Amino acid sequence: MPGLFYSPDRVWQVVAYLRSLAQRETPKGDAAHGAALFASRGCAGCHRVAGQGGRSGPDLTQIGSSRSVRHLREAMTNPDADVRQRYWVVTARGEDGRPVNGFLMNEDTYTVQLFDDVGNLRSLSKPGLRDYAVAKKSKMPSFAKLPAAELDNLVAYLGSLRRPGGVR
Amino acid sequence: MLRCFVLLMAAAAALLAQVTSDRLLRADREPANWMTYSGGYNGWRYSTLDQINRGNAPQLKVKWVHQMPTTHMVETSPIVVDGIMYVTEPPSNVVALDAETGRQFWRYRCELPGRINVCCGQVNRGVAVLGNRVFVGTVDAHLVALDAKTGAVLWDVEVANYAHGYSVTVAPLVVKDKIILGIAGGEYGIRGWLDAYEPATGKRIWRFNTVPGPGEAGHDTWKGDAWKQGGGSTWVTGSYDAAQNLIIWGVGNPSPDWNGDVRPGDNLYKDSAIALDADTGKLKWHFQFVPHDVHDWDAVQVPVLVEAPWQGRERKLVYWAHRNGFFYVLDRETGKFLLGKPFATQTWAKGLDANGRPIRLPNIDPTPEGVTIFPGVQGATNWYSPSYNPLTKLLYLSTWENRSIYRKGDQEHTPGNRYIGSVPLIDLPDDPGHGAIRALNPATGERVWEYKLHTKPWAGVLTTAGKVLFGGSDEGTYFAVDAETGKELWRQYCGGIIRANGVTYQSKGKQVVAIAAGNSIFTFALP
Ligand code: HEC
Repeated sequence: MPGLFYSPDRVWQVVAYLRSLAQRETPKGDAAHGAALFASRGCAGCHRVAGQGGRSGPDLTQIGSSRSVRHLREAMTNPDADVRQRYWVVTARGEDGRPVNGFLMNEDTYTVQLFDDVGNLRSLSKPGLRDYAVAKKSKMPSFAKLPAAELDNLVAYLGSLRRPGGVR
Repeated sequence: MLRCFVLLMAAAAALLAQVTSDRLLRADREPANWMTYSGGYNGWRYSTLDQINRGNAPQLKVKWVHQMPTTHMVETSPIVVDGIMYVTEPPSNVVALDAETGRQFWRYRCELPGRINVCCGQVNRGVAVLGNRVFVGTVDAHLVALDAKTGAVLWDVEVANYAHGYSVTVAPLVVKDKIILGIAGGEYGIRGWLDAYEPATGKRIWRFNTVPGPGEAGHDTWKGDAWKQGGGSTWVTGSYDAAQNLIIWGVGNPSPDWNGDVRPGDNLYKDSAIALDADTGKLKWHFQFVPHDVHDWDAVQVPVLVEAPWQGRERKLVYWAHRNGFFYVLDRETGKFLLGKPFATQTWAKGLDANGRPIRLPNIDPTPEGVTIFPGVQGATNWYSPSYNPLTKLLYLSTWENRSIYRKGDQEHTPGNRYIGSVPLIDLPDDPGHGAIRALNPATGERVWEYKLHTKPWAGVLTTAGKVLFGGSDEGTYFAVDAETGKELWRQYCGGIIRANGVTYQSKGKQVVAIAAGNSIFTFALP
């Protein structure tokens, strides 16, 4: 057979979505408390919800529409378990010897596109880079040590972040 | 008298504008055109044009772009005749463009039923031309003849029942006074064939069943009723050896793909090269690359026909870089195996025996838990075209370094539904592999050079007398490299994945290179 056509990141998204369909579990925590924890536990420093927050992690404005409860919990307790390409971390040095670090947004034979660690979009020519390395580990710290009730509340909050108008 | 002369002139012009089978036979003599899928019957995807060469290739510029109103994958290989380019737009439409400007003359829109069964996208790989006719196969398994001047339908015949999983994605091949047509549907339990049709009427002249039925030679390589849905598609355009009047074509995988329990035996003519008499469709020889395939390693590659010295004497050969990771040389008169050597990483065979039959390693067949082997499900190469260049005497191809997890599952056959016997893991998420363009010395199978790619290419290669190789990547870049060394000469990012084969032609006396990228046809020329 001659092939199926998806980029790795797209495949990841589809798989995550299908898993969310398979596991329609309702979160048991309290979403309002979860919202407060999201701010106080530092999540918002890296994640954006409705335009507020950082950019060092995925935008979570509609995360509840496409992720299962289990996935949301695991994202916090074991971030390294499932890191998609967009959040792989590049470390390299430019031709001038200066370090270049950031998230791998895209890559081909000749070039690499980064969201660098100071928030710039950068496109670099691969032959000009030295010590080019890609780590598939998450930049997110594990929150496995949070009290169970806090995790439940955070999951409930994340699950409530949905596109208005119900499931489409 | 004068009137008579004018009429004669008109007739002569009309004749010139027609594609005759004679012109197709001597396609190499008119490199301004690209008249068959591979540019010539020998399957070389090579052009004697040399205006674009290693010195000036770095100056190549986009000439024009034709955007297609489609959301389907574009796999078409353009045909160019006397200034007109004919391309298919998926699913099964055809457009005629001015090869100089890209402006459209006409478009044929094929109306299709709602539910079409195709494994891997509603695609089409191109048209064939003869006389004033353009021929296209459709995903609902019809063959359609169009007026080359207007795109009007001349005839439209159903060649198989699409509701049972048959579809046409292949570019037909005109051989003398026949249209040779293959079929797709190996993931739906079809019974495959290769057909010949009458250009004037669409009447079928012969059919070769790629799964022999009772009484047909090779039927004893099947047990029970498995042959009835044994697969054996023929979805990549083959080659033609005019001296022997032989059509040489590749046959696809058996059905179900990854569970062979229901079809014990070698399963002829799956994963085989077949050589058929062009007039009768009778089999002259065959060579099976993978007896009893359980990995979906079809022989859907373009056979490359070359005359070359082999162990001291001039011989008619077929070069075949197969999906299973081995490069083969066969004798074209007998189908005899002459050489086999891996051109990419493979972990399934210890080697090939004296007859070319693989010596399988243990534990390579799919299991319910899954086995991981090289090459992966999509093979070490696939349907995209190789190229042979008579000046460098090298064979070029796009290859993959990749492995898959092959799983075995149960499957019931129901007409029109998938019949594959599991879903393998095509790419390992942590190690999706990479690709390369490789040049092989066909006398030994040794690698001469490689041009490495970050991702696995689905684009064919084209080479020219300018000793330039053109290839494309899934990343969307079309590039030119030195055919002798593999050194990069030029590249253009096209912004859409390239899953097609390039062609070259001349417009107003200047060489042009064309490739489908994303949903567009891009053409390139020197400034
Ligand atoms: C230092 C930055 C950082 C902090 C702090 C952080 N995250 Fe993350 N988060 C990331 C990154 C980077 C990813 C993407 C990689 C991955 O999947 O782990 C991510 C992924 C996620 C995902 C998965 C998103 C998806 O697309 O499936 C969720 C959910 C999430 N974080 C929630 C949280 C919550 C809740 C907190 C606070 C308790 C938090 N994060 C704190 C950086 C951070």
